[in-house]
Amino acid sequence: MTRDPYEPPTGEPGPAPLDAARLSDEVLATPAEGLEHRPQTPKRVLVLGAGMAGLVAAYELRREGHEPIVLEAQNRVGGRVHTLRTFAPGLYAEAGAMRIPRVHELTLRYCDLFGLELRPFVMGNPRTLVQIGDVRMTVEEASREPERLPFAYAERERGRSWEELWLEATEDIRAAYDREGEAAWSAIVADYDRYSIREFLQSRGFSEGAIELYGIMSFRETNMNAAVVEQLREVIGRSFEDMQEIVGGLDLLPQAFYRALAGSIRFGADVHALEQDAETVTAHYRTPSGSFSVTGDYAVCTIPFSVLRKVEVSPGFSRGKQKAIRELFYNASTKILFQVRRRFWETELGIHGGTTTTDLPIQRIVYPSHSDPTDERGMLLASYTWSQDALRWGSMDEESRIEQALEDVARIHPQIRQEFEVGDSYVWYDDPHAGGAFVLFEPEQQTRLQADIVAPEGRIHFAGEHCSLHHAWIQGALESGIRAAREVHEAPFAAGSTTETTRAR
Amino acid sequence: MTVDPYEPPTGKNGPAPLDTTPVPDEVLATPADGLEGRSPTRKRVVVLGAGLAGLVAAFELERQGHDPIVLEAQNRVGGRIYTLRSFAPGLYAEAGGMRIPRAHDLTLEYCRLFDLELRPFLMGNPQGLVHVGGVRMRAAEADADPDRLGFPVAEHERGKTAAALWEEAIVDLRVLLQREGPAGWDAIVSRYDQYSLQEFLDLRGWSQGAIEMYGVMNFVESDLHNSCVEVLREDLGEAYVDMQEIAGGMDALPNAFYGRLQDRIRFGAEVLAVDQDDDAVTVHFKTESGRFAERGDFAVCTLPFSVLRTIEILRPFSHEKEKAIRQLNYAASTKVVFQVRNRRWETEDGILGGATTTDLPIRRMNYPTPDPTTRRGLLLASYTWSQDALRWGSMDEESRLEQALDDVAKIHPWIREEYEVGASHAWYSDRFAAGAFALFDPGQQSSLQDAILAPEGRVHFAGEHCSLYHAWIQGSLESGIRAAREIHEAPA
Repeated sequence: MTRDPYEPPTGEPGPAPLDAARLSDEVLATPAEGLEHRPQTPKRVLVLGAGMAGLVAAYELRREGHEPIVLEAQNRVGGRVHTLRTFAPGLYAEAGAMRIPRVHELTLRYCDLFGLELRPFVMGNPRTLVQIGDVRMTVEEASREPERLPFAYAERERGRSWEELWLEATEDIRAAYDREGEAAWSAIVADYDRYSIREFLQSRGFSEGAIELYGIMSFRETNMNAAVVEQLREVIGRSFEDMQEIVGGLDLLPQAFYRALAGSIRFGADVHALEQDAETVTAHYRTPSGSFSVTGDYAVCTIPFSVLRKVEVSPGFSRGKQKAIRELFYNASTKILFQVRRRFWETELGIHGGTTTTDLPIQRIVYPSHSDPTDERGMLLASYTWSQDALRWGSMDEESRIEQALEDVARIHPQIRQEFEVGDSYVWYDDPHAGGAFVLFEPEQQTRLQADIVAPEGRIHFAGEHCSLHHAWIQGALESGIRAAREVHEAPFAAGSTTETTRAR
Repeated sequence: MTVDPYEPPTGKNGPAPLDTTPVPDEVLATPADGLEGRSPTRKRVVVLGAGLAGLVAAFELERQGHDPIVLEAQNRVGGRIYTLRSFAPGLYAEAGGMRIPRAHDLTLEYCRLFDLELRPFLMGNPQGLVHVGGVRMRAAEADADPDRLGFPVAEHERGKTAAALWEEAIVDLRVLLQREGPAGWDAIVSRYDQYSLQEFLDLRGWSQGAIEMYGVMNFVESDLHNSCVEVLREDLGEAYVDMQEIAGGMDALPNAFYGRLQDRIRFGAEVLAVDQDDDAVTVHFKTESGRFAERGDFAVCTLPFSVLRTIEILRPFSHEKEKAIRQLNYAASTKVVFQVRNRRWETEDGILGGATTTDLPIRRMNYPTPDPTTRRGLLLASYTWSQDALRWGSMDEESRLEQALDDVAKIHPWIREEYEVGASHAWYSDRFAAGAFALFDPGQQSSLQDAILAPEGRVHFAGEHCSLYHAWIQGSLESGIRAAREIHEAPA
């Protein structure tokens, strides 16, 4: 899924996009050319999970003549790319990922491969609103007169927007990156991995008021204890510039993979145990009709560590991997969606896309970037929250969640009560197959855990956004899926798995 | 509820209890003497919430002749003191607070006032088990040879238990407090409030392996990024030394308050909005039969900030209070309880009370105080915090019990035969708690505590989150008395 800790409200494009954790040309060439060809006996590869990482791994392995078997617990592909279509005919909304930054070239190349049409996803929009306490203004006014926002700034911070303050705070890091490119990253991580966002801002002389401003405007107020390198990587990597969306819904991407893999996927297969020996890997899974197992030469495990924690593994993974599985921090995310009879924000306020920012529990409202001109109806992302805020929405039942969100939205748009038709919501932390929304390092976790997160364990290889440094992004799922597929593709063959799927006991 | 980030596996008692933020004598005398007597201007006080903070505030206000009315959304008193009794006759288990340290004198005073019988709550038990990295041993064995646990500790840490390493790490702070008394806390907070537990241990030169060992053995592996001051306060305050439980269940304490306040409590009243003007506070609430309002001269708000966040404040609180409400971090906690036909941990494993520590998702089991009158019993099959607790919370009850059974069976294979029924409580998913307890992120004590406590006009605040005894009954009682006194002493 996507997130935007740094959303330039004015929508001005920055300098030429440059990715912070740039992918090699070899990886970028994969959508067009596939993995490097090497003649070999086909391998049977168990792929656990049909999210983007599992799909791309299976797809690339199959292209090289291997035999992937994808086990998916749910009855859909895409994982945290999940387009909701429970609304009036033609309407849909994204419960998970909703946008692709221009710098995520690998993602865009797969869209291109499958002939998917893209269009801009509007980020900043000067006409959207900022409502903090009883102060309400447009984003344009807030950029022009930031001192009107009710925060206890220090004198030197007065009259400066939060983006200016952030740019100044990261100036030297940005300069190092411009000077040294990707090579600068190891130094940045070495210097800053210990810092939470809050500590980083304090070390750069931010006042309490400016930290509060930054937290609210970047939607990070309850993530201030997360590792600042996550934030630096996204911002310096320009993850929030020139965003795209897939026309028709983001699920068209996993569905395109599905068409190429339909026969290799087993739906409704909930993996509960993994076993391996020197030659094979066996996955044990349950379906409503019983317990089964399937054996392969290798496995690609894309199950989030939060879910993998409950899967029985024999022989046990290394202590380092076990520690990473236990400790890796998962963020929460909740989205609440309203179907409305009339898109009053367009007709009455002239708002076409963009985000309204507030200190209310809903945190932000995201307006659709494009709407069907022949239909007055529309979808509103009434609330999009992370961390503690998202967990609290998650702890309510659906009915109270919608009712409470309506109250919040009504404080900004009183018209909502009349125009609201139906609501829906998605709480990623409560989805037993996701076990959280995405990985967000705590301070030091990159240094302490990343090597163990990515390392294969015998014949089991790992992929998913959590096994990349593009946490929360489709790009991370794809990049790690290709890496795992390559590891398996290049591994020596061991004859082992001649057994078919067997009914257990 | 209670927490134990530092549970000495050997059960050895430390030095004489010394609480970190001693309750002033005046407060400690409250259970026996009540608030200081004053001119009897009778005040109408709306108390929001019938957890321990609300109960003690209402109780002490009524004792002084005031007129409290308590609005409680649920149909029980006690809040996060919650004794589950949905088991075989006579059996019960604690979903929330389960123990009282000897150092929590104020809590013990109220138990005495209401004549509640206490008995020891066994913490460490050398016969308890440790199951880490697939290796199983007795707590006594892990203590005698901690290297067997297999954590990659540094050379200089070899042969030392997590408890011993921790004691070395905080000995200078212990000395500081012995020398300077409670005043030493100012120095500790100003020096360490910005540090997470992880950073504190880094600073003390711990290896990664030792930090991992400490995290696993003390159940704080998912809390390493919270403020270290929380753990320091508990350990230096002897919060895990000489624990007691109330015979018959912890709910006997809130029920005793209830006995004195029955007519003053309105159950099923869910607060929607709080309003005030210069003379009065109005609290709007709903029941299943409609919407109502209650007016008073003052209010005591004991709602957790996580819940208060969704309540409409018609005359806005100060900016600083709003910020504290938004930012204060709440920890999660989940408990899973099994009723078993035979307490085979006693008969076969020789474990009479205490805990088993694991690196499995269940993290730890707690065994009840042995009861010679029955072979049935309740096992606290899992007690988790933070991310671990949230994950249990995100499962439905059935999967939660099934998954906990899988884990427990790795340690006690006989559990499948003996298991009868299970129950669980995920505090983050309880919408009237919305979290287990406040747990500061680094820096939050310095940046938020004043705003957390400050009254807003005629609304005063209490609850564990409005004290420095986060997660403990003592914090609810201390803050409830403070809020009651503020109102008692306020001009009418």
